[in-house]
Amino acid sequence: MTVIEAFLHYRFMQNALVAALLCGVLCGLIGVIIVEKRLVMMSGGIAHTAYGGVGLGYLFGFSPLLGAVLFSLAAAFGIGTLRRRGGARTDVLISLFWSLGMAAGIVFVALAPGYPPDLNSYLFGNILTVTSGDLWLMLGVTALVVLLLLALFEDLRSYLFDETFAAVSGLRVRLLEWLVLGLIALTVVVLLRVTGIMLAIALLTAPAATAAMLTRRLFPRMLTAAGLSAGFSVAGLVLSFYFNIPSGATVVALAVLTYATVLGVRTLRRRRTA
Amino acid sequence: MSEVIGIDHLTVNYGKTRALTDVCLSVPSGAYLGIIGPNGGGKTTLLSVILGTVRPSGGTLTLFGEAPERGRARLGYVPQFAAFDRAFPITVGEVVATAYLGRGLHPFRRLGRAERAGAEAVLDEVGLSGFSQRLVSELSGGEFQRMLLARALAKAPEVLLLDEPTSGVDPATRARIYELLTARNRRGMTVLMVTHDMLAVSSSVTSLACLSHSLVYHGEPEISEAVSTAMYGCPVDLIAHGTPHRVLRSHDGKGGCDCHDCH
Repeated sequence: MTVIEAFLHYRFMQNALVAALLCGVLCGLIGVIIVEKRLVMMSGGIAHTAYGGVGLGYLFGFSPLLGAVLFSLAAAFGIGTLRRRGGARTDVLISLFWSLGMAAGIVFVALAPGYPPDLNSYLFGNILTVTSGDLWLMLGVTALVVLLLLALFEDLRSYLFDETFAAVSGLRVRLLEWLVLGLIALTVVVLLRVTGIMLAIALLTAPAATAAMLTRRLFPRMLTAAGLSAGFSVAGLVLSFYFNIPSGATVVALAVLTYATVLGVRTLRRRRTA
Repeated sequence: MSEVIGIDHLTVNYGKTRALTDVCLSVPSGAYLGIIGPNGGGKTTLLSVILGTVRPSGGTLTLFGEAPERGRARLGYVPQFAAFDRAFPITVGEVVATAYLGRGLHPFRRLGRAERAGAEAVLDEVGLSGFSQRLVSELSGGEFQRMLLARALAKAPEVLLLDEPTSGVDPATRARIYELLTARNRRGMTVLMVTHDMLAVSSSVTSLACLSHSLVYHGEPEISEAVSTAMYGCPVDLIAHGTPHRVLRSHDGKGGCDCHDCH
């Protein structure tokens, strides 16, 4: 059976394809903001804190994804608030949230009654297990991100380039900061099914960093990153189908290898022209 | 002349560290004030309080008789050049046009022809005509600094704050920036400039404030040896480099000078 036939015949493959495309668009758009605003480690912290929510969901019998939404939003706003107040270094705060979230998840799962669930799909992703409910969540978050980015593009660009000047000009910088952190948290939750907690950071950064080497302006950079990210997600899905390898890890490996290749080609070109 | 900035017994602490202590200063409309002092003496902190991005620990600061958060829309601000990510994917024209966004949020706002024309005009004034489509990553240090100045001037502010506007720029650019500031000041704009550049202090500003955690001096732009000693914590001389550039250097050879001409 070819992958085209699988997409045509199997519902789980159709779900996986739509999920790969939605995740790609989402990661490309938010990833550029993460890379340009230097929020890579913050995003890693938010992703890992989400594990506590997954564990809480298993302990109390509600959707682990809902738990992940709560924990990742709490991490985003918690780190954001403490960072703004000062008194502690941001990298220390991120690492503490990161570790506490993972520790809470492990404890909650251990306390859950019955046999411990298999949490590998949350840690490393499994796009083939995406349900229709997950797809609606992904569609909602992607639509929200696209709408907000289109609506507030000029405000966001001003905020990303020079936060202080934007604040002095009267732009609602605090609101934009919460918006960016909230969207990162929601994107991380969407990624749990595709790349998992451990690998989410790679799909948020590698396509955006690759697009940065290929484009010169912010909006084309977002579009390029979204295209690359969607391409990696679909290609990872196809490769995992043919070679029977984990999809999330394949997507991430493709994204990182492409980044390394583009970087290598660019470096060689610069050496030749120097 | 009416007061645009009123500072009354201002104190700012960062945790246990005192940045500013009991500073009183009144800046009238149309002033051209230079603010000098040693590194860590509280100059940038004072600008931050005026901008409303740092809250005082004690005392008050008013801008046009109001709280800084209310009055700051009438300010222009040129931040320190070193604070920027110069790889950010944005053009010179787009940077200057951010000045036109104004207060609040602006859903689906796109910059119009009038705003682009305004950006072009102010870029021309700072000597960057034809630069509007260039990426900021392609600018030299001096061009970047002039772009920041253009952005600050774009909305014709009543008061312009500058934080070391000539650090890292060549002498020709430096002279051009001072000429432009003097011209704008003569047309009525109030200018507050934090600087280490003694040339600016001696030739451009009309009044001088010396900060070393507290206000050591405020008055004419000629400082006595006693004031400079109190400010830098050691005796200092004004010395020359064979150019019109003058810097402060301590007698004991320690610190005192941030000028790259001295290193």
